[in-house]
Order: sequence, then C-alpha cells, then structure tokens
Amino acid sequence: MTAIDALQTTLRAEHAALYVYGTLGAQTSRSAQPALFDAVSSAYAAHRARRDLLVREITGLGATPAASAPSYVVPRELGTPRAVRREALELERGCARTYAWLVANTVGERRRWAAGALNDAAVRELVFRGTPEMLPGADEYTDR
Amino acid sequence: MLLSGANDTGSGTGSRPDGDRVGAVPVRPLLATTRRTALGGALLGLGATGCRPDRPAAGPRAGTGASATAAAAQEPDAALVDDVLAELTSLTHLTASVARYVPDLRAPAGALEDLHRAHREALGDEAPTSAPTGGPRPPAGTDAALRLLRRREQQAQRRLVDWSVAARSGALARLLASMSAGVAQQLATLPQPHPRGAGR
Repeated sequence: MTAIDALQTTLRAEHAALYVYGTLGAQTSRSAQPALFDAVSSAYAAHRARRDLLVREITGLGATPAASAPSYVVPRELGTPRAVRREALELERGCARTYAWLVANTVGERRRWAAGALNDAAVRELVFRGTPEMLPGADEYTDR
Repeated sequence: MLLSGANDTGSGTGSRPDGDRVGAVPVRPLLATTRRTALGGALLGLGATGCRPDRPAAGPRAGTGASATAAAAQEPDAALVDDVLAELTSLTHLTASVARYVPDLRAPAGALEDLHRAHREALGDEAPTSAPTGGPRPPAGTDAALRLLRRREQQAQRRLVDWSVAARSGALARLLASMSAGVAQQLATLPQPHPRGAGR
C-alpha cells in the first residue's frame, strides 16, 4: 500500500464523518441543547479541517483526492439528544480506528500526524459521554 | 503542505477502513504472550499482509538462515519496546504510589495505574497483578501530587507518539499510538490542580 492509498482511505472516512456530522447538526437544537450543538459544531469543524488537510496532502503528492459519495448511511433514529450523542460517539470511535490504521500504514511525519488525529478523536469521544478506554482505536488488544 | 517525505508507507497491518461509513476496522491483534512473541507477531503480520518495510533494513548482521534474519529484523523494535516498558513500569509505580498515599487522587491514579498495567500486558510484559512496592512516595499535598502526575503523564503521551514514529513495525506503531490516546483520555478526565498560591 502506498501513502497515497492510505491517505485516500482516510479521506473517504473523513468525507463520511462530515456527512454524518452534518446530519447530526441538523438534528440538534441550538437553543434547546446548546452544549450538544456546540460539541457537534466543533467536531464538524475539526473534521472539515482534517479533510481539507488530507485533500491538500494528496494533491501535493500528485494524485486526485477521492471525492465524497453522494450520500452515506445514517441511522434513522436521531430524534433525541441521546441518539445524536450515541451516533457522534460511534463516529469518533470509528475515526479513532481509522487513524490508528493510518498510523500503521504511514511513516515519519505522516505517522506523527495520524497519531495526533487519533489522540484528538479519543479525547472527543469523552465529549460525547464516552468513557476512557485502554487502547482507543485498537481495542482488539484488550479483548484477548 | 502538512506532511513531507517520500511516498512510502509503514509496515501496517489490518483491513482497510470502510470508506462508506467510518466503521469498524478489524485488525489482526498481535499475539503477545511474551514481549518477544509480541514483536514476532508484528513482524509476521508485516510479511503476511505483504506490506513493505517502512525503512531500509539495518546493515548486515552476523548469522545466516531464517532465525538469524528474524532476530536481526526484530532487534531495533526490541530495544524500543524495552524503553517503552521501562517508562510504563515507572509510571505504574508512580500512579500506585499516588493512589496509595493521596486519598483525594485514589480513583484517578488507580485508573492510570490500571491503564499502564494493561499497556504493559499488551506489549507482552508479564506485569504483576499485585500493587508494586517500594515506589517513591509522592510529594505531600494533593495539588503537588497532581502536578507531578499530570507532568509525567503528559510526558508519557508525547513519548509514546515519538516511539510510535520510531517503530519499524506498523503494527507496533499503531499500538503505541493507541496507548498515547489512552493516556490522552485519562489526562482529559484528570482534575486540574489549584493555581499555585491559591491554597488547599
């Protein structure tokens, strides 16, 4: 696998995350759930910045960045703050796994950047009422 | 540009994340029953998945045959794992000591102790299940102990990322980065000390 392949896969995951966060934002009331709205908005902004970095990086390597899909699978039941929080938490756990995977498939400064993104995703899990894990993004080690 | 360097990849393992949904990424675990098999597992994973090594191999070494080759390939990460385990053992002692002597910090220090113990086990260390003895006594006072704890854990978080970057095996790099993220989560939940001079 080349660095471009690994970055493209991560970019596809960020496209999906942005789509889902957009949906979660639309399901969250700014006036009724200000804390949750801020958390979702902040997460959306962080993932958008990460997507843009990945696009620039892939372009800089001479490749065409993977495009976003027209739509992504979103759970039907998002009508409550609890459901939004749960989905955001699962999303961040998925991002943590993706960035852990990117760590394994890159070297040098790319790997360092991926490790930083993994750290960010792990901490953001807590914002959505996640609990600390032994090995975020690599939980199969704790299942043995 | 954010990142620079050659168009190379790590010696990663595992399946590709699902691009349609940020979903599960099933990755074959390191079969770590001992430190040496942990590293062996990482290297086996490298070969089995057909990934290229992320760096040129070190210079020629003595010995011939498959076992000598494997031992030579294992050596650089074995030294790194020794360094990581030394750090984790030191942290296990510190957190156990804080949990024992600072009642206000028993819960968070105990959680950190469990974390470091789990990380040692993930690396194949036969970590003792009983509380370590003979660790240094923490500084007197909750805030002083908390400052020490935060400083050491932040340092460990950074070091784990550095070690992840330095690892030759992508699987080991992933594990170390994940450990760093585990420390980051605990740091996010750790209480903040009162500002110096505020009294407590």
